[in-house]
Amino acid sequence: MEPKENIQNLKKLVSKEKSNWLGKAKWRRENKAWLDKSASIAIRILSEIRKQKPVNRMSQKRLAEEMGVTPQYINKVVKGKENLTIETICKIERVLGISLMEVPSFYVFQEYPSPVVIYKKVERNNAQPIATKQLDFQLVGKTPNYINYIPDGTHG
Amino acid sequence: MEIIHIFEENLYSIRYSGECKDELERLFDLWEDNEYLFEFFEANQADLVYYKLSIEQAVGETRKEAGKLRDALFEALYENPIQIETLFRNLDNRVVHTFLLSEQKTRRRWLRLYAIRIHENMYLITGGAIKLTQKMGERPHTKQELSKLEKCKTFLEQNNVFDDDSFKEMLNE
Repeated sequence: MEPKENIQNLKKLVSKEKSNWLGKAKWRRENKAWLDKSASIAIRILSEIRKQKPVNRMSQKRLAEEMGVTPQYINKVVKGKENLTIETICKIERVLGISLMEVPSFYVFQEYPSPVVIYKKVERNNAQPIATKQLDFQLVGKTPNYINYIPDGTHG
Repeated sequence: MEIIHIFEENLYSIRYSGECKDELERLFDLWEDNEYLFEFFEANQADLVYYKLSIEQAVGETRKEAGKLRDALFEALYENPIQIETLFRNLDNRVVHTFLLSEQKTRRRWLRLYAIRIHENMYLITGGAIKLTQKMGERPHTKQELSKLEKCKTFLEQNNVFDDDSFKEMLNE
């Protein structure tokens, strides 16, 4: 078989259609933050539906009915592809009787680092006697002191 | 069976008859499909015991690992020079040398992508699986991947894709 004939035969194998993988990969990378959260919520919803099914016949269809949305929408939600609103999350929580999102109601103290003394290594030439370890460094500054930082509304 | 172009002259994927997506797209969609994953891990719950994870945790882990594998592949493709070669290795761990049309794999925890190495930095994805057992032959869904690899290899050979040059030429036409 001639090489040209080979090529002609092989050309038939390559489709003119393009894969969507690259485009999807790019989109998922760009939207990773909310997609990850949406996926975690979706897994929790799906798990709860499966758990409740033998007890109260919960299904995606029933969840949709009780929320007043289409089953297609719920299917999108459980696939983790829906950018959920807080309103939707609250509706799902109410129907399933679970909590999907918690926001701490108390103030969280953020720990700030203690001031750190910064030393710069002192350059020495060979002629100088070897100094003690402490003298090899020179104080050049301090990081800001956050000790007095007290956020508003934290003291009763 | 058709060959679908993915990236430059480096990555291609097989689309099997009756499928609307090529294997690479189909697998990553599947590994992020919660309903499919719940069903898969329910059916393979016995194999999951070894990992000490609940079905819910396994679903979450699969999604996470799929994201990492996708990113690794994406980044390797856009590296200059391209780094796809570093992601894949011989399917058989005991085989050190790489041959023409060798069967290869890339992995991330229990996720596997299987491919045929056409040339340096030139791969054809033939399939992939969630591999929870040590050997591919132990479960039907991983065993099937072995036959897919064989089928693709035969398909290429039947179409006179015996070496690097003829394959590249074919794609450039």
